Amino acid sequence: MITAGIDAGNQTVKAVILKDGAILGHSIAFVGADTEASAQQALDEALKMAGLSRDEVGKVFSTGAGRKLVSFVAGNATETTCDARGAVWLLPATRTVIDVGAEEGRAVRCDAQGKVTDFSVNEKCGAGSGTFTEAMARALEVSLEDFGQMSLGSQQNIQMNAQCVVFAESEVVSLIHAQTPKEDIARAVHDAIADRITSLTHMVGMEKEVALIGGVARNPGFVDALRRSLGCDISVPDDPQIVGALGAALMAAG
Amino acid sequence: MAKYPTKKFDCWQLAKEMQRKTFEGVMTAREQGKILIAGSSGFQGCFLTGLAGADGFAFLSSEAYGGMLSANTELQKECIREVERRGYSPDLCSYMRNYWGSAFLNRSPWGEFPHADLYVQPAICDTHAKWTTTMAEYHGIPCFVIDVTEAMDFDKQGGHHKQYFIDQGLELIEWLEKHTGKEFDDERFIESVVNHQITSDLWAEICEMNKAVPCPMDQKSQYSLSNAIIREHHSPGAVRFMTLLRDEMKDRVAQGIAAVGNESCRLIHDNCPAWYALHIFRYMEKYGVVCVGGHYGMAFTSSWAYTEDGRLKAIKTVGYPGWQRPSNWEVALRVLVSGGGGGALLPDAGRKFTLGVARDWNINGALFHLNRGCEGWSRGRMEIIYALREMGLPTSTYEGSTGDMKDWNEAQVLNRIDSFMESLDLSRLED
Ligand code: SF4
Repeated sequence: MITAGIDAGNQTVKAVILKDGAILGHSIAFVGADTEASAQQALDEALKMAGLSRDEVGKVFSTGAGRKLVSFVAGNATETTCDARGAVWLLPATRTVIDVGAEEGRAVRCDAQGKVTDFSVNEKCGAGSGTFTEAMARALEVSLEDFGQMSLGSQQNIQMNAQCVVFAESEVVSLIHAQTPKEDIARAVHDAIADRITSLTHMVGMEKEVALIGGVARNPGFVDALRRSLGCDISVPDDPQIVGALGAALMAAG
Repeated sequence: MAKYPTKKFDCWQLAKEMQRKTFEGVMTAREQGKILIAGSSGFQGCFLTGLAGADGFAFLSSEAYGGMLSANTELQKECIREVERRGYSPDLCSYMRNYWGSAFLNRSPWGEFPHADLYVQPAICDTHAKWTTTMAEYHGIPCFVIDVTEAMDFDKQGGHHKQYFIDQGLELIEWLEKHTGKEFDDERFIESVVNHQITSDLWAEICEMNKAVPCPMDQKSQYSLSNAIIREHHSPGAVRFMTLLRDEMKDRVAQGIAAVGNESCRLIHDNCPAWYALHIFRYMEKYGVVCVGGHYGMAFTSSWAYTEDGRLKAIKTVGYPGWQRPSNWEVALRVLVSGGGGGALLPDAGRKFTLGVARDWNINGALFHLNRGCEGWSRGRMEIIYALREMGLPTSTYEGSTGDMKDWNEAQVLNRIDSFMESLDLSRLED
């Protein structure tokens, strides 16, 4: 059976096409004013990659903050549920999933079937999300890609006190004025987010193996910071952004 | 077809009518030549009855009023805005900010703000004393604050603490006599203390019946039906109402009448809810969830005790074999500071109480409101969550505020609830 999953997030829509245990296609599109249209676009692109037409797909499920805005699906489930399903399917030893997306950070504990046993979400504070990194990269006037890589070259550990995007930005500016190397500032920013996510993770009672998914998982500076903060290794799947959509496709498959 | 029969509470209308009458009494106190006394709900109702008789005064329960404003989305916005415009911090108690805003704007849901003649305030949380002293200064009226340092858990504190309260009670009586020109009547006071005990016994008995499957009273109804004990637990009217409600609950249990027809999951909900967003309870019902109770609500004026092995049970403080009516006002005052059991706002008491409910009320999980709008009931909630998790009970939280919609994000809260429901293997039974 061929199924599809759509993850309608705050910044991007992800789509995954799944057939008999294999991912045939996937895509990521930016969310415009019309979530439904963006979801349709993401699905079309994933179908193109899979070499399939819409008629060949059975059930489609949606997830993500905008999941209820996608009308052409057979069902929907929350990001929490889909993250766990998708992560355990990709990395079967996973028992704790950490998802850091544009606007939310989430820690989910799950069992061997990918069923959620506990979860915790940081949704009101920017310090636990990708938006925070973006704002700080802007303050340093570097690209997001360079920002992540840059922090790996840090020579000294400095502490960022602010946990709020607005105050952190002015702290970063003060550090620039104090001629603190950009590498050290970048690491301090990643450490601050990682500490926030670590406390979320401990709230659910971290159990190994730990998988990191979501857009921020592509940032090597953050991955390094989270490893240090959690004090354990973490696995990052090849396409960490599409794991929620994959979970939705698995839900559609039953 | 639903699993269980459901039925609206017969005494629902009476509860509404009592509430209407109370606030009507507040608004027309002057015309009726009655003193209007304001302050948070507490045992001062007994003192006021001793002073003026059950019908001789009007009482504006500041928390009931703050709660009502919180539910009034339009007025709430204006009240909160006005308070912040005057420079008060948005992290103060949201009930208090609503109340103050209403006073500053001189506007209530029924016209002008009901200006009290006196404030009498038991300070059971950090906010209370400031709430009324600020208002008393603003209106230029006298105010008496009773210091209740350990949030009403008098039994735990032993003799000195009780004596401290009793001494303040004596001062209050003198103060009330001085400011009203009325004479305190011991008999009326004793009567009101006994009424307070009876309603406390009845409320615990009622909440204990929620152990039944299906659950006869959902938490949203519990909030509404408990209003009588919050506002006037010392009055004969409250005794009559709680007796009717107790009898109706007995019938509901006997007939298997459910609050939620498709009950398949029973949750504790704790901390005061967001009064403008009570629809989240109906939202959960679509998953077959019934919220059966929590420390906030069940532990209001109520008679609870723990068995030796820590089990929570409703007790009788009146009318048991060997019971004696207090022989004089001092004995009555000592009775007033005994019992309770819920320990109201103390974090330790909250944990013990919630664990008791989790053990014996057939609970499947717990949902906590991380409430930015109330410091009092928020103390120690995370510790309670950890204790429940240690018990193996699934828990979740959502953020909000009892009385400030600026702290509420509906989409995020519903998403959080959806996630929790899915983790409990529940799916929506209807849309
Ligand atoms: S902080 Fe909470 S308990 Fe204290 S007065 Fe305000 S609403 Fe009541």
